[in-house]
Amino acid sequence: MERKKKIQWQPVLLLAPAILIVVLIIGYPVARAIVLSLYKYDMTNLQNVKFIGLQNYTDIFTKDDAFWPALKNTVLWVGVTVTAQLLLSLLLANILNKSFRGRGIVRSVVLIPWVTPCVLISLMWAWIFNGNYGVMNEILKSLHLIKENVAWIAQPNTALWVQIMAMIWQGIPFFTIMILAAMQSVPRELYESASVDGASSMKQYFYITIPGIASTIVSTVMIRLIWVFNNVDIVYTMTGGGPGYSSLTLSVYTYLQAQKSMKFGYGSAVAIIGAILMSIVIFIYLRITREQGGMIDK
Amino acid sequence: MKEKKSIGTFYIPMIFFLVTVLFPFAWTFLTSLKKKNEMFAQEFRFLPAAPTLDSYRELFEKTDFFSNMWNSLVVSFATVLIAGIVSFMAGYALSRYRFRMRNALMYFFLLLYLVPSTLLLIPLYTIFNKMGILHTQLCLIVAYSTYSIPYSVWLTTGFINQVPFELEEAAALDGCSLAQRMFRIVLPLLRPALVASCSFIFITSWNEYTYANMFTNKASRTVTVALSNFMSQYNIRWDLITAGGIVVVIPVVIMFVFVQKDLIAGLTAGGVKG
Repeated sequence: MERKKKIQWQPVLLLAPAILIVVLIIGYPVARAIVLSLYKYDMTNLQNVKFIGLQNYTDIFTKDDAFWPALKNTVLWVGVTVTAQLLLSLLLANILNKSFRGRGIVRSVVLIPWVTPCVLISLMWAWIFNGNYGVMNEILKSLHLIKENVAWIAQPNTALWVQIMAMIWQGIPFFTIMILAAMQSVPRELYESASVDGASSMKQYFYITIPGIASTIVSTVMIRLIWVFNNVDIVYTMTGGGPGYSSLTLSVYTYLQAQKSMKFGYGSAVAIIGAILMSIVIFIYLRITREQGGMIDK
Repeated sequence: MKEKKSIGTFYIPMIFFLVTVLFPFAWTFLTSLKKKNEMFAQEFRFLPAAPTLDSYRELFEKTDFFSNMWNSLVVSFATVLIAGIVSFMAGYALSRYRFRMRNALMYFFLLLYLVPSTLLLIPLYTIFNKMGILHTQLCLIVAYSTYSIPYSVWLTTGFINQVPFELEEAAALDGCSLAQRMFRIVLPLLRPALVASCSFIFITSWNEYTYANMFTNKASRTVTVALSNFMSQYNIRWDLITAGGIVVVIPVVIMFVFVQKDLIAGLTAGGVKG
């Protein structure tokens, strides 16, 4: 590939539009969000925009009733969702990795939630779990698991769980695709020689498959962590964070500050705190998983 | 390859997954065929007693759903066009040239893919407002293109890596320019892959809600926002939601089923390597 050396201005020109757009529309706004977070900047009160230093941040930590519940919910929302997605996807990938008739169709079908709009996912599950007319209540009643209708979405101790379930449902396909692809790249000979040596399929799974797909799991879990953390649509559409703050997550809280209260300075501060917390989590995560062959080393 | 497939570890979980995936769609579809009084009847029935298309009729005749769909269509197509061209160029450069910072750039694109949209929401709102394009389709096109570029650069680079460079070398010897090589040799060979990644850009733009809800008004509203607006605090129109949901999801699912093979190949090929 030496012949490419003398024409190095070409990649610059080819890359310029992508880098330019991305820097303008992502880089500049990130900088602007940091600046905004230091201001009192309410869209409803633009005469009274003023620099207030870190006051938004101290207010969030000390005076805000919603922040701490939102943080707790975010930990649940991200932690439970991604863990469940990982476990269920491992199971599903294992099934789809076998050869059976109709595998192509089954694969296409189980991937559909991935391309379904999150708003629709939220609405569909809201309808299923509707307290008065929801089919879930009918199913559970006919199984004698509950006696009377439960208002799943309207009561504080269940609302977040319905949303977590919807998010798990949404995320399994992407996870499964990645794991499946990784499983298929594990050399077949390893299994063959293991069988010759008399290793059970359980043993083969834990000693060949899991190590073989570990790096994919690490990188996919990271993508999902960030993804689930960032997701606004499901919670916002179903409950808007309610009842009370019972299903509020940090991303939804930021969104409400922007969309409903129009408090742009305060909202930016919440968004930045969220982004920093997430970065710390990712940093620790990558540190821990590094020895297992994390994506950064590759 | 022949494997033992037991009921407990194979068929039961598979049926469980299939039912779980399909049930919400099935229930939404069944609901959309019901009459309004049946939807909210005291006595529960699973199937519609007398299937009717009333909900769909009302959706298209009495609401702006057609123009919402049109808005989504325009925004999504424009995004595909911009993001597609820009990331084809970038992907070509990243695949064909070796230069310092190349790997750094690949990671840079990957990281951008993960910037929280809520962090950008507020600054973008003020910027679009200042530019005077807030509440137009243009601001969604700009936002979506930007969000699609990192991802599709990643995909396209992986795709172009699979096209042998020798083809281009031969063409270059025959006097083909860079543009000719890109568009007459690489592009045609990549067609299925590019169709897949463009479809994915289309699908994500069509499905987007967070920005669309903030940056549009009645005239520029997209389908996802329209759908969620059927759910207002006091009056939840489940008839319109279920019918609209089916209408919104059908084009996406059809598109996806056609391209999923190529899309998955690109997604898992790992454009970040080497």
